[in-house]
Amino acid sequence: MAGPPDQNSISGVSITPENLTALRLLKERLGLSSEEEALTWSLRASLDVVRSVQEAPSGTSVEESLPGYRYLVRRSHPWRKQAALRGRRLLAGQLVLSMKANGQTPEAAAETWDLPIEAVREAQAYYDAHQELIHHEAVEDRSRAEDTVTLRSR
Amino acid sequence: MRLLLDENCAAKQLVTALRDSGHAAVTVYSAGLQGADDLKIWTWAQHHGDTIVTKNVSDFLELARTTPAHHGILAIFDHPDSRKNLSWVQIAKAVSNLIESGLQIEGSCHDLNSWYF
Repeated sequence: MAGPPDQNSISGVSITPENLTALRLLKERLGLSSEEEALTWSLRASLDVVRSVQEAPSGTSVEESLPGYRYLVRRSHPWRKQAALRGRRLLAGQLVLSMKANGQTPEAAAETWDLPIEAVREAQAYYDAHQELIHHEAVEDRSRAEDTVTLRSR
Repeated sequence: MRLLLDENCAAKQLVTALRDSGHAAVTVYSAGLQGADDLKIWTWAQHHGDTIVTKNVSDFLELARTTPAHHGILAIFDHPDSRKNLSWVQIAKAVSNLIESGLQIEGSCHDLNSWYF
C-alpha cells in the first residue's frame, strides 16, 4: 500500500511534491528568485481573482469611467456606489464635505488636494446631484464600523 | 507613534496641523501609495509600525479583524450634516486629545469624531 506523498515545506507551509513542481514552474516562467516568492505571488494573484469576482471586498484600484464625467470614476467596491476622483482614493463626497467643514473655495480645495480646479467643480456638481447617495453612504460606513467589536469611542 | 494619512485625509493643512501639534505624520503620497488598494496600505502601515488615519473606516476594520496585533486605526466619519464634520485643525486636536488620554492605540480603532472637544 502506498504511503502519504512526500511533503516539502516553504515558510513553514507544507507543500505536496505536485504543488512544489507547480511553484517551481511559476518561479521559472515569471523569473522569480525563489519558490517562496512564487508562493507569495500565487497567493496575491488568487486574492486579486477573488476580489474581482466578489467586487473587491477590501477595496481595489480598478476604475470605471463615468459617462459625462472627466475627472470622476467609479471604483469597484462591495457597497459604495458614489464616484471617486480618478487615480485617487478620494470620494467625491469626501472632497466636498471636507471643503464645507473647512470653509474652502474650489480654488483652495484644488490647491489642498493637488487637483485641477475643474476636478473640484466636477465633484461639487456630482455632490449636488447625488446628495442622497453620498449621505446614505456616510451613514452606512459608520453603521458598518459600529457593527464591528473594535471601534472605540470616547 | 507615526500616523499614516490615507488618501482621503492627506490634505496639506492636516499634515501641517498634526506636525504643529507635535505628531509625526506621513501621507500615502510620500509613501508612494497613491491609488493603492486597502490591503497594500494596510500591509505597508503594519510593516512600518504606522497608525492609519482614514475616512474609509469599515474597509480597514475588516482588515483589522485579520490582524489583531495591528498598529491602530484612527477613524474619521463624515456626517451628512456638514456642520458636524471636523475641520483639519479639529482633527489634529482630536488626535492630541486621544493620545493625551493615554489609551492604547495599537490593536484598537478609535472614533476620532468623539475625541474633539
